[in-house]
Amino acid sequence: MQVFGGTVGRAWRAVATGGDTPTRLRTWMVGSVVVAVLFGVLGAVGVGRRDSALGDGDAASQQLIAVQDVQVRLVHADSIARENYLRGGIEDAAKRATYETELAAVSDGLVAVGNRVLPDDAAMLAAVSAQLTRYSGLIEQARANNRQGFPVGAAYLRTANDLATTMVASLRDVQSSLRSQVNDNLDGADTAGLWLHLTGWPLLVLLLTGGGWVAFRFRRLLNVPLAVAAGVTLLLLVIGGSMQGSAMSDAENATGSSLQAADLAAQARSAAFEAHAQESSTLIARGSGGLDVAWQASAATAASALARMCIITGDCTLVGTFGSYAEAHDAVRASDDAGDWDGARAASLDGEAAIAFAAFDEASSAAAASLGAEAASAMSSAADGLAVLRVVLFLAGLSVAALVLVGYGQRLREYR
Amino acid sequence: MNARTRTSSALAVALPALLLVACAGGERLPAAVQGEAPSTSAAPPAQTFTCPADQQEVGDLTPKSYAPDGPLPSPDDLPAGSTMAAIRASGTLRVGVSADTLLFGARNPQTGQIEGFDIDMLKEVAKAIFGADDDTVYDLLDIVVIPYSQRIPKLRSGEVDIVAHTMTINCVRWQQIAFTSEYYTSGQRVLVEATSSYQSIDDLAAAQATVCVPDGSTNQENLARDYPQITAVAVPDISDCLVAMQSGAVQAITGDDTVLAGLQVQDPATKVVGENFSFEPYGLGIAADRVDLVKFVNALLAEMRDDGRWQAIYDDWLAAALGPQSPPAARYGRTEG
Repeated sequence: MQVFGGTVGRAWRAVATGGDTPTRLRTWMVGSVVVAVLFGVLGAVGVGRRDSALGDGDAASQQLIAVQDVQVRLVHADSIARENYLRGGIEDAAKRATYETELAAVSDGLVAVGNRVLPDDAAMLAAVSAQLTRYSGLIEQARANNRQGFPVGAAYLRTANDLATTMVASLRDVQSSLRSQVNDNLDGADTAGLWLHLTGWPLLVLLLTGGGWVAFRFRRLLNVPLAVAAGVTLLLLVIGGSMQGSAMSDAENATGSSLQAADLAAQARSAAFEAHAQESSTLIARGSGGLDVAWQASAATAASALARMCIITGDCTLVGTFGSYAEAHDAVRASDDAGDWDGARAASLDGEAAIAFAAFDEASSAAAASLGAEAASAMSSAADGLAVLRVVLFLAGLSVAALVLVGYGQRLREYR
Repeated sequence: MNARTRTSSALAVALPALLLVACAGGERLPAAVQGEAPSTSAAPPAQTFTCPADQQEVGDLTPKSYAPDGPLPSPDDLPAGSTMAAIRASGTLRVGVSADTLLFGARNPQTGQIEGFDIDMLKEVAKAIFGADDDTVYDLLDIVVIPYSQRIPKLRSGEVDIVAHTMTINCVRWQQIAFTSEYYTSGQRVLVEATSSYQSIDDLAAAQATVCVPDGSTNQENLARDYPQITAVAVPDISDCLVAMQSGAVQAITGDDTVLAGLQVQDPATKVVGENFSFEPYGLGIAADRVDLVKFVNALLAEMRDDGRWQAIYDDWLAAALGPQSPPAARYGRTEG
C-alpha cells in the first residue's frame, strides 16, 4: 500500500511539476486507465442497481395492486353479506354465489401475495387470513340466526362487520408499506443513476485533456486511439445517460399516471363498497341514523379518490356515476328518516340506489382492471434495455482502458 | 486563467448541474386518500344526574307517575295545542324501540316488521292518537331502532316521541325524562350455559366470573353497585352479550328476566338461573317536558288494564315464556315542577 502510495505521489508530483515526458505519459495513461475501468465497473453497477431498483419498484407496485384487489373483494363480500341480511330469510342466490366467490378469491389472494411481500407485511397478511376464517364463520352464524328470525343474527353480523373493518385496516397498512417500497425503490433508482455520470464525465475530461496534451507535445493532429476512446466515452454518456434517464422517466411517469390512477381506482371502489355496506347496516339498524356518518366518510373518500383519478386520467365518468349513487342513497336515507323504512329498503335492495350502485360497480371495475393492467405493463417495461446497457458499459469501460493503453503506448514506444 | 484552471472551473460548474439533473425527484405515489364526513355539531358535555334525597322513594318500590287528567279523550277530541294533537298533525308517532329483544321488540325477517310486547303497547298509543285500526296502525309508527345507551338521549334530543325499550323506571332517569305508569314488572337474573354449574348471581360473584351486561342499562348499575367482584363486560345491545357468551368470552349474561327469556329461545343450550335480584318496573319513556303526553298514555294504560287489552297482549307474547301474570297496578302522585 505504501509502495503504491509512493508511486502515485511521485507520478502526481511529475504531472504537477512538469517531470519528464515519459513519466507524464505514464501518469496520464495510468490515471486514465484507472478511471476508465472505474467507469466501466461503477457505471455497470449503477445501471444494474437502477435496473434492480426499478424491478423491485415494479414488483412492489404489482403487489400493491394485488393487495388492493384482495381488499376490494373483501369489502365487496362484506357488502353482499349485509345486503343479504337486510333481505331477511330469502337471500339473493346470485349475490350469495358472488359472496362465496369473492371470499375464496380473498383467501387465495392473501396466500399468493403473502409469499411475495416483506416478512412484516407477510405477517400482517397471515393475521388477516386467520381473521378471514373467523369472519366467514360469524357471517354464517348471522345468516343461520336471521333465517330463523333470531335477532342475535344482527349481533353476529355487527361482530363480523367490525372484524372486516379490522382486516381492512391491516390491508391498508400493508398497502401503505408497499407504497413506501415503490417510492423508496424509485429514490434508490434515482441515486444509482449517478455512478455513470460521476465516473464518465471525469473520464471524458481526462481523455480530452490528455489527448490534447499528447497531440500538442508530439505535434500530431490527433492521437487516434485516445480520440476514439473519448468518442466512445461521450457516446456512452449520451446514449447510456439517455437510456437510464428514459427508464427512470418511464417509471416515474407510470407511477404518476397509470399506477397512481389504478391505486386511486382501487381505493375508490373499496370506499364505495364500504359505503354501500353501511347503507345496508343503517337500514338493518332501521333509522338509528348514526351509521350514516360512516357512510358519509366512506363516500367522501370514494369521491375524493375519483376526483383525483379524473385529474390524472382526464376521464371523469366515474365521478358522475358515483354521484348518481350518492343521490340515490340520499333518497334512501330521506325515506327511512321520514318513516318509510319499507320504501327505503326496497330502493336500497332493488330500486334506484341498487341500480345506481350496480352501474358504478360495473364501470369502476372495468376502469380499475384497465388501469391496473396499464400500470403493470408500464412499470414492468420501464427498465427495458438496462440489462444490456449494463453489459455494454462494462465492456466499453474495458475497451476505453485498452484504447488508452494503446494511445499512450504508441508515444511511450518512441522513448525506448 | 490557465487551461487547467479553466477545465477545473468548467467541471465545478458542470458536475453539480449534472448531479442536480440526475437527482431531480420525479413522481411518487401519494398516501391513501382519506375522506372526511361533513362535520356535525359537537355533542354536549355529558351531564351527571343523581337522585335528590327528597325524591328517593325508599320503601316505595313502584315509582310514581303523573295521574291522568281524566278519561282518555277520543282521537278526534284531542286537546288543542297538546303534544298528542301535534303528533296527530305530523302523521306519525316517532317511537324508539329495540329490534333485537325477542318477545318485546324484534324484527320478523319474513315480514320485515318489528314485533313484540313493547311494539303492541306503542300500537295502542298510536290507535289512541290517530284512531287507526289493527291493519293500518303499524304504518303510523315511525320506528327508530335504538341501542340501550341511546334511549334517553334520543328522547332528550326530541328525535323520538316515546321509547318502549324494556326501560326500567328509576329516580335518576326521572331527572332526565318522564315515565308513564308501570306497564310491566321485571327483575334482573342471569343466563348461563345449560351445562354450567353456576346457579345464581352469588355463585358468579364468588367465582369472580366475567359477566356481560348491556351498556347504559340499570342492569349494569345494579351489577356494579351490588356485585363489584364480578368483571362486567358492557356491550351496546343484549344480543351482543349472547354472541360474547357463545364465543366463550363471558361466563354469563345478566339482564331482565324478560330479555333473558328471549335469548334463551334463541339458544336452547342456555338456561336462566337464580332468583330475581332486582326490581325492574318498566315504563314508557317520554320527554320530561311532555307531561300532557305522559298523562294521556297513563289514561290509556288504565283503560287497557281494565278492559283486558293489556292481558291479551301479555298472553300473545309472554305468557308462554313467563307464565301467567296480571297487569301491574298504576301508582300516581308525581306533580309537575
